Amino acid sequence: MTPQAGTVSEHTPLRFLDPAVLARISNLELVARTVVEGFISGLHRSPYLGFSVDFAQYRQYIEGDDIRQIDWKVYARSDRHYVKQYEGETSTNVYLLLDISGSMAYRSGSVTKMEYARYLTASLAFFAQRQRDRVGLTTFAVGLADQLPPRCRREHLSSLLHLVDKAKADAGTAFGKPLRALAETIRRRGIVVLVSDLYAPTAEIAESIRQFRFQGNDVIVIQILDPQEQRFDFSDSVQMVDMETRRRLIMDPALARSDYLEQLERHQQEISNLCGALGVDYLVMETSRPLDLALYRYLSTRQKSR
Amino acid sequence: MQFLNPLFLLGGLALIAPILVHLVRRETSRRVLFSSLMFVRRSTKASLRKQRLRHPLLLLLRMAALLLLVLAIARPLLTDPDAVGLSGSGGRSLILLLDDSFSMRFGDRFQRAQSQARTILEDMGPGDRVRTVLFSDTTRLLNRPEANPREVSKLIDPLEPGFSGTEYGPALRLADQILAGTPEGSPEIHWISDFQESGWQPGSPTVAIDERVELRTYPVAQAPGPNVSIGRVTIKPEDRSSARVTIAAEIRSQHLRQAPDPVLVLEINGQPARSRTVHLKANDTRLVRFQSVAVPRGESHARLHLQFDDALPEDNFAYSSLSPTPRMKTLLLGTDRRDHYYLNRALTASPDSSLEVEVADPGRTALSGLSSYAAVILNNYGPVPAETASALIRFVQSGGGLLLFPGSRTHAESLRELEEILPATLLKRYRAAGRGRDQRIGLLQKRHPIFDHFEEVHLSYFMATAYTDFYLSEPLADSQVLATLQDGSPLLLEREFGKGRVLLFTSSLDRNWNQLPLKSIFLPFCQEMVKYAARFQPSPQAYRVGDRVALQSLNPQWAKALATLSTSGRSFAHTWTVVAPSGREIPLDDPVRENRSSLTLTEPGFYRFRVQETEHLLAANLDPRESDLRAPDPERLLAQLPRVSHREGAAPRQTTSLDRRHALENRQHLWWYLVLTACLVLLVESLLANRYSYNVTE
Repeated sequence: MTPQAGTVSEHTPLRFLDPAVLARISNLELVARTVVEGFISGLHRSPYLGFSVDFAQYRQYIEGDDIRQIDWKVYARSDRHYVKQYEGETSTNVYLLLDISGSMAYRSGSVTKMEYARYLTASLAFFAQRQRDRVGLTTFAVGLADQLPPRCRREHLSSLLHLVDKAKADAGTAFGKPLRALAETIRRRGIVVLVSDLYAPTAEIAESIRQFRFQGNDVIVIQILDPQEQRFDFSDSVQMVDMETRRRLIMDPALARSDYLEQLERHQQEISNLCGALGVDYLVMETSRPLDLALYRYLSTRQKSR
Repeated sequence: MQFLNPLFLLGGLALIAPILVHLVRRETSRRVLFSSLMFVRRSTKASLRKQRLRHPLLLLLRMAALLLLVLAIARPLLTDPDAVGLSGSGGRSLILLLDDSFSMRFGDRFQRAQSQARTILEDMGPGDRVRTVLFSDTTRLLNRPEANPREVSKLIDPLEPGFSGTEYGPALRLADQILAGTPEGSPEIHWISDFQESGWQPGSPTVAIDERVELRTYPVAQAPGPNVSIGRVTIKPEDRSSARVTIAAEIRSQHLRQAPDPVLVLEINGQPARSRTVHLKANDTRLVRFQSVAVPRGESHARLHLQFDDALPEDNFAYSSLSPTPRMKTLLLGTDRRDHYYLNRALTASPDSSLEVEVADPGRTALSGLSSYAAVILNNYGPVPAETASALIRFVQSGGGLLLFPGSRTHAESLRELEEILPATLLKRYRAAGRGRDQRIGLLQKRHPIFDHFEEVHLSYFMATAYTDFYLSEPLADSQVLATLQDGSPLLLEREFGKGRVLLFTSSLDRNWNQLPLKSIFLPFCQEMVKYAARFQPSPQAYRVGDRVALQSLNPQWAKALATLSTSGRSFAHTWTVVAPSGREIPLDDPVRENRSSLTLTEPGFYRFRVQETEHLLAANLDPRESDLRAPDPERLLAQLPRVSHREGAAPRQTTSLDRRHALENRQHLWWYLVLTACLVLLVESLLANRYSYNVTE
């Protein structure tokens, strides 16, 4: 599987929401609502896609159960109290993993990768909540920063968005340790959405994805990149400072460009190959592109998982 | 090629810098934060190797520019004179110090000095420059730096020694200063003189010569021959009319051997008057007196001639004016002549006193003729009448001196009419007699002209005098307090008013109020006060060669004529004629307009000044020290001459060759071309650097 950023966005009639415009909206929930509502209206389909009310089984009434759930017909027949259980409990768990390492603070335009990732995460959470999915959030850098287990309540969405809002890019990146810790907490299969720039060794990334996949999760890897990171077209000789390690490098970008792009492409290719092998969706998103594409990819994955 | 600052060549080590820069790739650039350099580092390392190989030309250009700059700072110079076309520059800087004092007239000393000078000039090299300094008691630079010895010889050949005294100090100081201002060349002073011992003036400021100046001496005095001379001559009037005088002359001999005794002849107005044979030993000094010499009326002059055949005949003559020195007329006013006893005696103590005192009663004397007096003294006076006060005020305004000495007859109101010119207002009389509160002098302006001549010991007598009575006074703002008593009361005050002066002594000049008249200082103190108040300047009976004479001081009438000329703007030379003793007429080209109403005497003898119909003779004598021909070894003089490592305020000489190199470098300015070349190289480097790109890791 190869990155599909260009192909999907160009051929799908979605409303394009400029991230720079979204950046002017301070309320993250409003940003998410704008993105999701626009995306849904663009689809012209029911907003309750995949929602199930099918009967599952009877269970004997126990004290504390809602008496409205008691099946009175069964009581008439059997003189026992039974309550109905429905398919609603089969809703998907969505695990949003947000990378808040230092490199996510980079920007060449008006939006940093962190801001873009926040909008994206918020939109996904909002959209999942509308789909009655349980949404959880984990932010990580060198270690786990914040963690919110998946819930479906509306109040939970507010807490999640608040957590997303306060996420600040800092420190380095380490996929292994934090994601391993996260994997150990996942008791139920679901969709794991990894939002990151993936500036880490491929082996480390592979180990994390493989772990999620072995648990039976569907995994979507969304790589956030700045346009400049993909073009690397600095004009003059510069002293570059690594935003994660603070190491400096004096260089002529024009000379180093081809080598850089080659290294980056190789890195992406390795990740793409890995994702292909594991059956993981891999999506590269530039911070200058609309967010709808990620939602589309999420929806596709959810349908597939059902 | 040499370098002026070879130590700066160490700056060549800076050439390592561009090499290091090219190796290490250290460069400051625009700082850019980037998300991750995990894909960059590998590409940079790879490109470094390529950079080192790609920019050797840039490296060479940078190193060349640095090398050029280092060379420029080291100030290179081409030392081969032929190569730089500067042949002759950078040689010696010579000063010829040539003595032309009177003593150089002895025998053939000056001719030998000229010959020695020519020898030095002949030894001059192609790069040498010479200046000639003539010295006696004055110093004169004869020529600017001259490389051609013939030109300098032309200046020296016609020279003749003068009649002035000798002072080595100013000449050496001038030579040293000239050389200090001449950085190029090896400095040398060639000192040609008879090295008279008297040339070192006692008490003259110390001369210090730069130790790097080569000082060579050329003594031209051979074994001294016999010489007799007339030294100091004094003429004292035997009576107040100055009709008869005693003339005393000091006769000296040096190296006199079996010669007939010289005869001293006195001539009055050109006629032999007296003569006397002087018995002298080989090195002797005798005082010869001609007593009771009759002096004709009017302008008279005397010439003493020591008849002896020696190698320095000019010092066998002495000249003097016999005209009595105009006395300063002083009017002493007081009610009772007995009050003036001490003061009058003090002012007229000796027959040759320059003061002529007339005593008068202010109430009975008509004061219309005050202009004939130089000073008026009011001593122990009573109330001054208004008309007397008016006359005195006019007198002071026109330049007269007024002295006020109060006494028992004086009251605080006595001087009310003279308030306009008084230096202080009298308040009341202070009486300490019998109470043990007598006062002594507290402060005294010892440098004031009145006290300046007194020795410290005499001033101590003056200051120790007790004043039992005096007038308390309030000094005016424009007056000057010359002496105060212990309690701060002014004792002697001075005030300038118009052209004249007023002196106020607040105590009396008798023994009633103080004991000053009994002190030895009383006589000169009184005389000095009167002379100072009247601005009296006596003219001597004879001047010395080298003196500068103010024409106005020769004759009061001439002074008036001079003043008239200066206001009318008429030519001075048409009315004044000055003839030197040698007979040459001294041109006085409008000295009034040029403010040159003075004349420097250069010859011994009588100078004749003719103004309109009158003629005045002015006597000029040789400096007696010039006749002392004793000449020590010049090396002893040199040993006494302090040498300094370098002059204060002047750049020290490193070496003489360094000075020469400085001069060469200044002419060549090679550093300038090197800097220009370095700029061009840097320009090319900039163009190339813009084309090249390079990475430098930390």
